[in-house]
Amino acid sequence: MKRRYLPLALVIAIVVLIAVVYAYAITVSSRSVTVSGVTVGEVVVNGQTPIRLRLSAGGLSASERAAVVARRLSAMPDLAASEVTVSKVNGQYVVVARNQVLITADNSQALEYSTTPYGLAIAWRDQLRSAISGAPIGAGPSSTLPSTGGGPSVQSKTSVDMSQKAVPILSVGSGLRVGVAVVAGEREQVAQVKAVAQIEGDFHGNARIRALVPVSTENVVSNINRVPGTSVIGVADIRL
Amino acid sequence: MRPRIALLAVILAVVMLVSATTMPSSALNLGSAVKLFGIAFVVKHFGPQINSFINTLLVQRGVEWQGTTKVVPIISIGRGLYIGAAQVAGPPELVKKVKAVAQGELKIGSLRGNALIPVGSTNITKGVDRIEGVGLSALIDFRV
Repeated sequence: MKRRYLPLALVIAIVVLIAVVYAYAITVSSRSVTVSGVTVGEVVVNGQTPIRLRLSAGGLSASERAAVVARRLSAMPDLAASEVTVSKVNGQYVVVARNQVLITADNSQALEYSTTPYGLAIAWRDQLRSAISGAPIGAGPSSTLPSTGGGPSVQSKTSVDMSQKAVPILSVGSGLRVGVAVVAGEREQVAQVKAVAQIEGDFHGNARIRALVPVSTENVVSNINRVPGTSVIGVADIRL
Repeated sequence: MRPRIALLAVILAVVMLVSATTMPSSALNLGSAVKLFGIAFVVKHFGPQINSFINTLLVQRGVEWQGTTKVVPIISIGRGLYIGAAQVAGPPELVKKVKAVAQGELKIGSLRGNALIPVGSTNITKGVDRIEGVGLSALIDFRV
C-alpha cells in the first residue's frame, strides 16, 4: 500500500518544485509601440517597462534592440535584482547581469532623455531592478527616465540620489591627516568613502602635484581602494 | 632709438614665447613661464603633459580614474584671478565642457576651506556655470 503512495508523493513534489521555480522566474518580452508617429522598442519585464528605446544603433532598429535585450534577459529566468549592475566596457557605460552586457547606454540615447550615458545606465539598472523584484518603477530611490513624445509610459525625469560628506585627507606614505575634503557622488557610493588619499608628485621640480582619491579605508599606507563614482568637490588644508 | 628698443622687446618676447611653446617642460622652468605668461598660458601649453604625469602617478598606485581627465586653471570666484591649476575627471562629454575650476570659500564645521567647482566658462565674475558630474582629481601648485 505504501509503495502506491510513493509515486504520487514524487509527482506532487515535482509539481510543487516547478510551481516554485515559475513563481520566482521573471517573465520577459519585447514589443514595438508607436508613440507620436515614432516606433519605439520596449523591454517588458514582469509586466512593466524598464527600458524603452527610441533610436537605432549598430544596424539594429529600436525594436530589434529591445528584442535583443529581452532575449538576453530571458536566458536568465532566475535573475535577482541585485545582479543587475552598471559597468564600463570599452569606455562606454553598460548595464550588466552575470557578466553579460544587457544594453549599452550610448550618447545618442542619453541625449534623447536629456541625461548622460552614466545617468541613463543607472536609470536603466534601477528600473530593471524594480521590475525584476516586482516593485513599481518610479517608487523609492530608483532613477527613472522621461518619455519624450507622450504615449504609454511608466518613465519620468532622471534624478540620481546624490549626497556629499566631509572626510579626512590622508597623505599616502605617512598616513598623516593633512586636511579635510568634501566628497560627492551617488548616496550609496559616498557612504563607502572613509577618507581621501593624497598622492603627491613633483612635475620636473616645477610644480607640486596632489592627486586626491576618495578611498574606502583609512589605511592608505598599505591599501588604496578607490570608491568609483565619487569625487572631491572641496578641500580645507590644516595649516601647521 | 625708442622704436629700436620697442622692436628688440617685441623680438625678445616672441623668442621667449616660441621657446616656451617648443621646449620640453623638463628644460623649461614652469615657474618662470607662470611669471612671464601667466597660469592660463602654462595650463594651455603644458596641461596635457601635466595631465599625463598625474595619470601615470595614479596608474603606478593602481587607482587610475575610469574616465577622461583634463588640466584646467583654478580661478577665484569674485576677483576672477587665475590662482592655480587642477585636474578634473569625469565622463568624456562632460569633461570636454569644463574650462576652469572656480574656487570659493567653503566652511566645514570650524574649518574654512575652498569649494572647487568645475565650470564651463573662464568668465566667472558674473556667475558660475557648474558642470555637474565632473569632480576634482588633483591640485597643481606651481613653484614661482
